[in-house]
Amino acid sequence: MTTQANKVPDWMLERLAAGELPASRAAELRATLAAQGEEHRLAEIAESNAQILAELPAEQVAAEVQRRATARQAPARRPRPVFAWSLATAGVAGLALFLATRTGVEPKRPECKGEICFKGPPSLRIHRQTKSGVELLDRESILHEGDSLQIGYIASGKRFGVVASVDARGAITLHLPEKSGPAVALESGGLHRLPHSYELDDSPGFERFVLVTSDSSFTTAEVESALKSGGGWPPRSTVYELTLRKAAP
Amino acid sequence: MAVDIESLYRSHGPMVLRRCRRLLRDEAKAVDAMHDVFVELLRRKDTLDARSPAGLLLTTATHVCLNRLRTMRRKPEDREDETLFQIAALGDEPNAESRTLAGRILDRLFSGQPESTRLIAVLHYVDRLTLEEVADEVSMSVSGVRKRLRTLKERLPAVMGAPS
Repeated sequence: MTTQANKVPDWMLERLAAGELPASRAAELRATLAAQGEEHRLAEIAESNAQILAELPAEQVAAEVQRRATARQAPARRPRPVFAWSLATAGVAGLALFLATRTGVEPKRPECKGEICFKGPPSLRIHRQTKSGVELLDRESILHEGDSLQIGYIASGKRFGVVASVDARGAITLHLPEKSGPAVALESGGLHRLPHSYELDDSPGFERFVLVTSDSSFTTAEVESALKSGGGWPPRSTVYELTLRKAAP
Repeated sequence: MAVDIESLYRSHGPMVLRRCRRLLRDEAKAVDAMHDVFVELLRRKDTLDARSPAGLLLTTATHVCLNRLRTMRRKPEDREDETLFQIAALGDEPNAESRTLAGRILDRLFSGQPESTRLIAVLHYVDRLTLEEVADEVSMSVSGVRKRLRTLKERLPAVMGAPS
């Protein structure tokens, strides 16, 4: 069996390097490589393997894979909606809602700063400094080495919080607080910017930012542990995540 | 079977990333896609053959990247890239065989049913595998592969005139 243009395709080379081809086919490909003086391509794969594993460590990738897998399973675990409520059930629910309101359990109101109000759970707002001003980043944004980021949080009534990020190499950066210790007391009343901007290094792939909040105290060590292992956040905490992709250096 | 992602990544992760880099030509997107390949593998762990995961991982990476390419907004860099974009876009055609969503494609892939025509086209027109090699990779007859490509060719202007 010959290959197009008599060159061993990368696909076949990878299969050969993985050692999963039948012996006869592997011998045939090795002979082709030798005849073409291209045995170095196998050595290059070995070098590339080492480089990639150094840049993207296995434990970090495994944790990120586990995190994504868990996140994608989450909606499936939601209880299915029940459409066939009886009048009696609806009545009981209405009564419970009335009592809850009367006893002071009120629906969460948006946090406002000046005329700007923020609704919803605790979250981050990350802006990038540009030549012409600042740009609010979202999940479609692409980061670059050297980008200067300004991180802000909206506590939405939560008392304690930690802001951290982890890159594809597994390096964790604490943004709030900037040193290990207890979670800080969050300020309410809308968006609060962290005192220092954050400059991106040359780590490839992505930067994942998290805001972990809770009404109970917890520590940065708990957050760092969860980031390393892909789970196990502090009890009764709320986690907001924003993963931003990075352009190749 | 249980899947040790960390161990599997050590042995095959770099291969998957190189595949994603080749197809997407964007480091950040390739790293992102590589993670998703392993997520997909984790989801389908019951059907993984631990003795030879390379072919399955390369195939899964190809499908994941093709689906990414469908939504990428960049101009093809060369003829091979153009071919890839056209193959990826086949999924948008209501009558194309590969119209199924990513999940369906992977369902078929993992259940041992015939590979999608998109994969066959990528292997032949982009990776430059011979018909025999493609047939081996997708466990089909050479004539079956040739037939798939013949019907596909008219929808791929970038490969018009190429041998199959």
